[in-house]
Amino acid sequence: MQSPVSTVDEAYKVCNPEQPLKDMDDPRYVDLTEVRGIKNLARTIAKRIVRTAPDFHQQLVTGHRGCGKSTELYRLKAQLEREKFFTLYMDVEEMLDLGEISYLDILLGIARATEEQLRENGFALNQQLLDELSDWFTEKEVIKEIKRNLESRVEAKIGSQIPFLGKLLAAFTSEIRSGSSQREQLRKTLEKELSVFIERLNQLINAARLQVQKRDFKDLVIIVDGLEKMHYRELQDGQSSHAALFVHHAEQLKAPTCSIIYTAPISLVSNENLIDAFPATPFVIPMVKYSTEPGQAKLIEVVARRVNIDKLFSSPDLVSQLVTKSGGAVRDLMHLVRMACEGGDCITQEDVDQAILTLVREFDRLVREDDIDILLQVSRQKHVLADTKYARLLQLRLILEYQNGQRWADLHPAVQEINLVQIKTQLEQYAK
Amino acid sequence: MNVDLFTQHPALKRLLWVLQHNQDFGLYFARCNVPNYRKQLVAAVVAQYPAVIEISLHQLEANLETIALDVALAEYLQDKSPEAAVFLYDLESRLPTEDTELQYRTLQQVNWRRSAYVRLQRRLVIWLPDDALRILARGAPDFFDWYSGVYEFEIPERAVNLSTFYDDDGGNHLTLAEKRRWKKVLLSLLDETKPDTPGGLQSLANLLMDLGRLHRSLGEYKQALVYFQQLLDIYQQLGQFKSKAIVLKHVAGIYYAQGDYDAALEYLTDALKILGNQAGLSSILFHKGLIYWAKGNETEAKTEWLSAYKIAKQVGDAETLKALDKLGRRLGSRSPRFILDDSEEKNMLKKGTLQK
Repeated sequence: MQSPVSTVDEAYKVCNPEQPLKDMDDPRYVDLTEVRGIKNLARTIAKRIVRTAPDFHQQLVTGHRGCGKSTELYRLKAQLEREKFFTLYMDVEEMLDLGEISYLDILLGIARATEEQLRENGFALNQQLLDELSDWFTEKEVIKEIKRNLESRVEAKIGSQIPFLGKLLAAFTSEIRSGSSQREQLRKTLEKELSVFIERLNQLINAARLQVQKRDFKDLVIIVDGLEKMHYRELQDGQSSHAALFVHHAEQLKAPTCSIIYTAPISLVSNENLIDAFPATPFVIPMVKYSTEPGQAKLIEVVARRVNIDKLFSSPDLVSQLVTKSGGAVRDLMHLVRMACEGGDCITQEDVDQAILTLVREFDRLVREDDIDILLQVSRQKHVLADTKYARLLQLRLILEYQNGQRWADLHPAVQEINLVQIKTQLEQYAK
Repeated sequence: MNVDLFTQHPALKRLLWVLQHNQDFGLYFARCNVPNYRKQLVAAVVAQYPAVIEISLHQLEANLETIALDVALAEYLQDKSPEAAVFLYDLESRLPTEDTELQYRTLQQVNWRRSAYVRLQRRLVIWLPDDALRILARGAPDFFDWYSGVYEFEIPERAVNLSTFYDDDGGNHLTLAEKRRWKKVLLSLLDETKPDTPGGLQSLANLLMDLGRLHRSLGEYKQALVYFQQLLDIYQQLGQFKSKAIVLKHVAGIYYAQGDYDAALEYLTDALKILGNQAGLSSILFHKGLIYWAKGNETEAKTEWLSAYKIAKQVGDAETLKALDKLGRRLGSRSPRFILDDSEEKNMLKKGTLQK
């Protein structure tokens, strides 16, 4: 489909917010760097990696869900490939269980992605090493069982192109993903021999680096996407599941001997201990400053690259209305356009009103009674504090982060439409 | 085309539009609080767009102990037309549930297995009542964030039948055959009762109460009224005014069931007079609200419910509070904020027509 499209049916398709733009030349891509008030992610991080080589650059990238993070990471991958870095992209959501994730899962995921993506790209890893690694794994009791299950399956016998280690690693991640009883045992086993496990992982990574360097790549880079979506939970010791992974297990996450980029939940940005854990400043992708003129114009361009505004909207002003209610979140903007399409052949004021109303109602649904005070406070003070009670609201995009020389925050415009003060008063009356 | 429903609910038109125009995966939520009304809405859509597979969660339930919902859905849909959209019902049986563990598991599962739903490659419309949708939105925010559309269907007032809220009518949990057998037992006991012995009158009263309620639940209103009338006399004689008020509530319930709302209101007003400030007041007010609602007087109904709420809270009438909570959900508002969510209510508060 050639963007910009001219019918609502096509518009509905090209505005799917769940599809990050994977192709460097995708005509729908608009560089929002400036109107976010930051530096270009792909260029900045690629430069850091190039400059650090032959040492490794390891850092976190964060931003709200739906801010365009994956699209930017795909561009980083493309940029790195132009700089002759072989780049592995791993989507944690596809591979692991974000509801209950351990650093061990991630390391196993990295092993799997390395073996798989090198093989798929025609690199032959040393067979002896692969055998050695699968032998090391299969010495363990729990893994023996996984191995037996694996061998009993028919597809294991026919898919002979795939080395046994590949099948084994895939079996591990699917055990983890399905939350089976073996998951815990597997984690415990690896944890007991953590240093050996990491050594083995790095043998695999080093073998991979060797192979890519043979084909004129400068080195290997791994991008681990999707971790920002991990479940937020307060653990028994009072810290959050987010801090437990990224602060307390930072050493393990940094253990792979290559450059590596992890996405992290936005709530962590205000965690003071993070800077010790990951010394490279986390790259924050803030929301587009939709209320400024250039921000507004860029977001309109995001729509215009996908749909023919003159043909589809009864007035171009309608697009500005949608932009204003998006809060500068690309996902919400796409959402709004899509919902406005549902009215018929041409998007009218009525459709736009309806789309905005739906968005407001969906945000209203997320607001809990005990959020109201915090929301009112953010709307007055325009910033968030390093406190766990903000984490949930940031993660749900009820509060959005912006950058204007410094970080500031505000309520999502859809949340601003909710009359919080009135609800608060009513609740107080009701409690009497 | 069921013009009425489509004009009444622009959301229904939009839902139909996406079914007709989007062939790719899409996750949609439809909010409708009353299953019977949902059936009408669905029928109207299916008449225009027949390629819909309707699945109740209960059909999959046997499998859900061992496999995830998405897997169960995939298995169920295996041999079904690949182009058809899927309407999923009854997920609420796992959401607002007292089994918090089950609720947590359900939420976790949909939230973290959401990519599995994409692999279904279907348009999936999940129909839920309001409170379940809210639980899902808050408890599975990543899954919910994926919605391609949310369609909300307000139930026209006349279609919301709240009659089931009118007191427990003496055996709703019994089958018809059980009720008939039970009636026989009670009647034989009635024969044996001697009202002139000590405590005899009280036993008679208890029996008459059971019989009256049983007849009411069987729809035998005339006979029920006979028993209740006798009861009113006995309680008057015994000086048990609170019990008398309860009988009046039952009598009102009979008129309510027959659609004679004015008579019902009269009986309830009598009951209120008898009770004064005593316990039981909140329950009577609650029922008065139901009658106003049936009459179509929404504002009066809510006034009664709000008063009922306040008194129930004051005196700790847990039963009425529970009934109000249930009612709030049924009416699709943010329980227990359900009264406050209405703009008329806010106006009333402003005008001071409600006692605070």
